[in-house]
Amino acid sequence: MRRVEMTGPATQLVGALAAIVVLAAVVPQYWLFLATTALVTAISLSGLGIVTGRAGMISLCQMSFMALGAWVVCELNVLAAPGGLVLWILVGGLAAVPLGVLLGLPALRLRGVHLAVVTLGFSAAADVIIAAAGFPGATTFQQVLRPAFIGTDTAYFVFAALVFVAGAVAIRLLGRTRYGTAWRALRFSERATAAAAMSVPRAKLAAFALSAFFGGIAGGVLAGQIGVVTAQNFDTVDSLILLVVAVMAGSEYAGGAIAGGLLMVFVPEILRGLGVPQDWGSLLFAVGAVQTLSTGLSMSEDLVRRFRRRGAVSVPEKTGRRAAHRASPVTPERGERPVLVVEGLSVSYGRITALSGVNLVVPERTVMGLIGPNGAGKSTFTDAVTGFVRGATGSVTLDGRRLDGLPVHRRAAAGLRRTFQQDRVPPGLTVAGFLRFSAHRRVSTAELDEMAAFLNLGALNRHVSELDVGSRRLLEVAGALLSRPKVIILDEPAAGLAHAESMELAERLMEVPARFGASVLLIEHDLEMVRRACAEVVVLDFGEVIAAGPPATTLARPEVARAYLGDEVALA
Amino acid sequence: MLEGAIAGLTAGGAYAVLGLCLTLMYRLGRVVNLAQAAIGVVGVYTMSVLADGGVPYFVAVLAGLVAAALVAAGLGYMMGRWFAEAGTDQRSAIAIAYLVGLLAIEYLVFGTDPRQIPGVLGGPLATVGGVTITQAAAVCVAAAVLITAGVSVFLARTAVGLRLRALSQRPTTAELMGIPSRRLGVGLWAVTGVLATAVLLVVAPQQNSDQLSLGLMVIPACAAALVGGFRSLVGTAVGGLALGALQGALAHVSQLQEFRDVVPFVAILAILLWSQRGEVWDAAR
Repeated sequence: MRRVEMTGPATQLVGALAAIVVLAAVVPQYWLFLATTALVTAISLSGLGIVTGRAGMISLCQMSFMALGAWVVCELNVLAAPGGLVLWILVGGLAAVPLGVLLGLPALRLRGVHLAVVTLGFSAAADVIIAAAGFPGATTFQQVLRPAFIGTDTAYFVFAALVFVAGAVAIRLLGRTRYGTAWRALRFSERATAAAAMSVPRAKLAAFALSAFFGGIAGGVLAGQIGVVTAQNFDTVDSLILLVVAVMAGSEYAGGAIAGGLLMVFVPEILRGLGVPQDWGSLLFAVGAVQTLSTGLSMSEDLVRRFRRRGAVSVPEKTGRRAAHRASPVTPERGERPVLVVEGLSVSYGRITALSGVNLVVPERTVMGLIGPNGAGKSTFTDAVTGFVRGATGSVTLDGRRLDGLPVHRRAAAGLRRTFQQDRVPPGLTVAGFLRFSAHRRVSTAELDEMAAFLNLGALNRHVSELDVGSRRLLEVAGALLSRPKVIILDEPAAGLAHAESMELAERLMEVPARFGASVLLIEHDLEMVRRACAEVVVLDFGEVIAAGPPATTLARPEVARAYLGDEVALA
Repeated sequence: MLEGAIAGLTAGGAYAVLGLCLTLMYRLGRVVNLAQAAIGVVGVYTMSVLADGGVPYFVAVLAGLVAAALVAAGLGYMMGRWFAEAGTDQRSAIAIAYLVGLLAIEYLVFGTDPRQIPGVLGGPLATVGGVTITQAAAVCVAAAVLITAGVSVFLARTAVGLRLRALSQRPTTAELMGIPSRRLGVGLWAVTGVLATAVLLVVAPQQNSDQLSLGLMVIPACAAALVGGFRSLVGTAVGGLALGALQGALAHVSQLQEFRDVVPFVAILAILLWSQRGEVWDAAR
């Protein structure tokens, strides 16, 4: 444990500041100049780390953002604008933000490879424009003026280092906000991110905006360092190399960004010293990135993992049975006041009608079952009610408020939550991290512990990747419940659970209305579980409601048996 | 303007053929191979070095094609060996690393000085109504048309074509059925490497041909492949030719001349945004 305390954020910060002072005092001028360039690269890599490392979107135009930042600084210098270099750099960073947002817009529809192609195309186009426009003051060799306090190369090194540290601290703090978690969640599933009441477009645009901001700042610092900037400083190929190094070093971590910066500057320098062509450096980075992608671990992640393994705390085994059974209500209870009202909900995909005119009312504080054979439209119903299907007709009202036309995250925030049939819990998060993200409000540790005990989630500091599929389902339910929803739609929560565990989940679900004030709409194939937990069931077949009422009588009706088993059985 | 558009067909044919390689690699090899043109550069520069050293042109060309095929096969082998089960995104990220690595190797092996690439298709072929059609333009357009037709027939009618299609859609299932996936994958890389080299051998003597600008011809090629949605071969060929003609025409408008290389980006963006406008979510359900 002491080891962990020693590497706490405050200690790291003090250590970084001390290292800057020592380096500035000891390292010779020439190497200090190179180190400043490495810091510039590291600042830019930190930005790229947000988009590529955290949010998993390939961006190949980081150099274009740097070029814009540098251009703004040069222009302000030529204009002799007030405020001096430090302010100009900030303006350069801010100027890159709109460009980042603009490039983020395609990312709302384009993913993966397509986004890579667009950003690469942009980078090449930006090269052309930069070459045509030129940098202000470049033809007259007008140096960017530095204020006296960062006039020497040593002082400028300290300045660049402080900018990097400030950026690293900011990213670290941001990483703890909802946006930080959203970026990691986004990478795994956009649908799950939206279902946790986070706007996917906003999260993506924020990632691009920040990445551009860091790029712009880096460009500005570079302009101040070298004085006269030309188009050669920002080549398309450098954007590619930057991405390759970001992947290799793991630039979403401050350590990875600084390692990447050092590699990009000092590897060619050392090669030059040895009389070896510098292109070996790029080849080295390419091989390193291939190696990283084949193991799935960047340099930083590799180190982090080794460190974690060494300091691993023994996790108590998940207890199979709970220690003390709470008293569940003997029979499921049904509320009176309607909370979720769905009227005339229809969805068609081309000529196929998936849902036609479905009416459904979920009363408050009730567990209601929604059943039907495969392909009956249960999941389409869930998607349509929660806002995932565009072009659904009909109306959805939650607690008197019309939800029609609202996007997914707004419906979730209004108190209509869902879980997914597929495993959609981002594996990069911890159990507690996921619960806090999904809760969409401040939750105390006591609340988390209580929830963990309620659904038997085990230790909160484990990573989601360590959980089996059944436990991830329960975690998803727990996260949704923590948000204090009015209605929660569970899409086959018991898939992946053993029978005894399913029945135990049924008991827990019966407690949900009283404990959390929420109604549950349970979609499930396990009819025994439905019988146990639900006060009422609705049966869907071929997109239409064919029966509704208390489970015992409804499930016994011939049309329900026919839907499930076919004509012969029902008639026999 | 028309003269420019016709002249642009040389580059357009190259975009089309490179785009066809990209489409094939995407459909059959599950990768957007951003290193496609850089592989071709290996062949072109091998030819150029040999020809400058006194080797007869056609022998040098053959050597260049073989060199590109070997390099492509090697890259394809690594892809098949280490990233067989990886998704398209990851395999394409590997291709970006390949591009960076190949450019570095090309600078190391062939030097960084610009080189005049020898060629035999210099002169004009015919003059129709006052508009000159160059030999290079005619060859590039013909290559685009022939390759489109040939590949379409190959995929639709031959046993190997069928196996390739099976492999691309369900690699594991195909392997369980006894289709030699790795060998076919390596063959695919080699063939597209040869095609890329062949078309670059025609264009490189006509233009500014340092390694980087040839290697980045993959960007307009991507635009061409996008016109076909990385699916349709005909769409890709038409897209490439149209893009080249458009760029050529713009070169004759003096105000826009400097910015004609911005055209691929605008084209890429417009096509993608239109074709993907409905893709609100990352997964179908």
